[in-house]
Amino acid sequence: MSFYTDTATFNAAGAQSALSYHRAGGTAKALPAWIVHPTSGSDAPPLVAIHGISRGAQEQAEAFARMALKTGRTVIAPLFSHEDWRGYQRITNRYRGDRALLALLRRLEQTGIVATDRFDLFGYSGGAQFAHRFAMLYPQRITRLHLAAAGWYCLPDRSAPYPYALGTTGHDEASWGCRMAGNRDAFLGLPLALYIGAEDTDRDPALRSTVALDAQQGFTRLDRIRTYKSAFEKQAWDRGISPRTSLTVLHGCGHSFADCIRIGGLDQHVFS
Amino acid sequence: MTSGTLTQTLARAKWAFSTRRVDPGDAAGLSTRFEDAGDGDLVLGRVMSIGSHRRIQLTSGRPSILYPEDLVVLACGARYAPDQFEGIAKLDADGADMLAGGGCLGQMRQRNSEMKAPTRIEPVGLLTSTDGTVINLADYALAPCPGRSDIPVIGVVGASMNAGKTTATAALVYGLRQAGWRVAAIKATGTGAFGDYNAYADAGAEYVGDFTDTGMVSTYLEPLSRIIPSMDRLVREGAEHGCDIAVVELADGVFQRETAAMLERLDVQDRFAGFVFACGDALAATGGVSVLRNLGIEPAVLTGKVSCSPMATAEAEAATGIDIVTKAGLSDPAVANSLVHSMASGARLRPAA
Repeated sequence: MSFYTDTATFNAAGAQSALSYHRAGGTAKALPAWIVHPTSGSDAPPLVAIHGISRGAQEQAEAFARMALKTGRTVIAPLFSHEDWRGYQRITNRYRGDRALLALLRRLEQTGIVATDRFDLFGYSGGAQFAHRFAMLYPQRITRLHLAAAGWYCLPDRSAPYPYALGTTGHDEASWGCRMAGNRDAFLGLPLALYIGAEDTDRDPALRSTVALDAQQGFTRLDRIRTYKSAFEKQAWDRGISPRTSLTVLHGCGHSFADCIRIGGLDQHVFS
Repeated sequence: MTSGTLTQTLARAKWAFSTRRVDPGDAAGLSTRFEDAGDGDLVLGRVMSIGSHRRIQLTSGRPSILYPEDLVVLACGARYAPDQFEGIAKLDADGADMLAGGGCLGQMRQRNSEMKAPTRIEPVGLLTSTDGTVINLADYALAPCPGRSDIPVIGVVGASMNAGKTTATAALVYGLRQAGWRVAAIKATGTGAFGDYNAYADAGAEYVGDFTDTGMVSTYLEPLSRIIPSMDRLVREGAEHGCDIAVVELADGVFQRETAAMLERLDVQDRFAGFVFACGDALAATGGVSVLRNLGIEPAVLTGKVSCSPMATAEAEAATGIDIVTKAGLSDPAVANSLVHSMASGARLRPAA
């Protein structure tokens, strides 16, 4: 394991901190990551940022770097490559993105880059899909969950079979719903911050669209995030848990991570 | 024997794993009142003949091949092992039986027909302290500490010896550790040996403890009034080491004397967030689950050797209605995490700091 210190450095206000690329370890499916590691670290948990299907790990690390350096928080942006991680956002594919992320965090802990088992988890678009499924599997690892502009969600109820919710069908994949359901109370107790562009209403080709999904979650990402928030809150109340949710609509933004940062100030919301 | 000679003799002796907490420098003399020896008393012995146990487990954690005339230090104790020996804590000056490689010396009462006769040890003397009292493992036990820890405790019980309990315990410890928990792995009943202890440590347990840490070489024939506080003390020790969860293995099968007596007690059941049951085949699964259900215990999952066979798994799941999880499954952080969350209420299950 090593760090490329000759990659583009990203200094702000004279801070001695670099944006570095953390190479994967020895195993074939180990994850590399872009990391912002401020030298003046704080006690605040690190932020793990999961890219969408455009694989913009470096873009996310750069986008969050300014706030990371300002607050002293480490940002870790793992890269699920096209070649090795098709469908990474589902977690339940043949190669397990959850285990790869756990392994990456363990390596970073061993090298002193992170000092805690817990972290904020952010995901944009497909990354938000990964993030909420990961959080349902390991809620105790998460300090705050940030989901931005997911195309669709796994609702934390039994209204449909997994992966649309946590119901069962007898299909092998349904066992994932059972596993996530077992952790549900801890998951529903997490602080959940949701973000969406006010103009993220296109039914673009990347948006999964089926009659059943449209009926369950709505036609657009904006509809679906509202459906998710409602389902999350209802499940929490039904289980005696006070939900801690927020939905931030980013005006002037469509389905673009760059615009959400530049126009919507998403980085400031995530670090607030 | 002068004190200097005794020191040299003890330095040459092979000290068994069960004596790992003892300070050899505390030994000031030897007593030959073997008729008074009891559970946990330390014995300096000489190997007379090699039988079933050809090795002794050392305090260092490695096995040592035994040779005739070797000097050994073991603890007097009883043993219950259906695959090996049953014996009691009694010494005969003419020769005693090595009942376990971890360092348990006593008198064999019966043995499995596939076992050779035990390795025979000639007692040289009971180790005594400067005031002449016999040194006992209990002298080195963890200090008593009232009260119980509230970390969740997962019990691992089995149909029999060698059903897969230790494999399951280690796999679950590994899976939970991968999920980010700090785990205490504890052997609450059985006979002191480093196999289980090392397996837990290898799996990444933050704290490993067994009843030898609370002064017993074996829990066989010990009263529950000693075994239950011992378990509580070990769980508390795990919590004090920063562990979030304890996985506690109970030795042998659900019919074993002390294990059965513990599981019958509601106050003991209440100490556990849930149970994993290890068994060898579908019939053992059906019988074991029936016994546990009669006690009011519903295992969360079944595991053990039965899980190696897809056909046995299907039979056992159909007969019991309980999911069977393989070793690989328990080692999977997602599976282990879901298991612990489904067992423990959110109030008790605290995230790692």
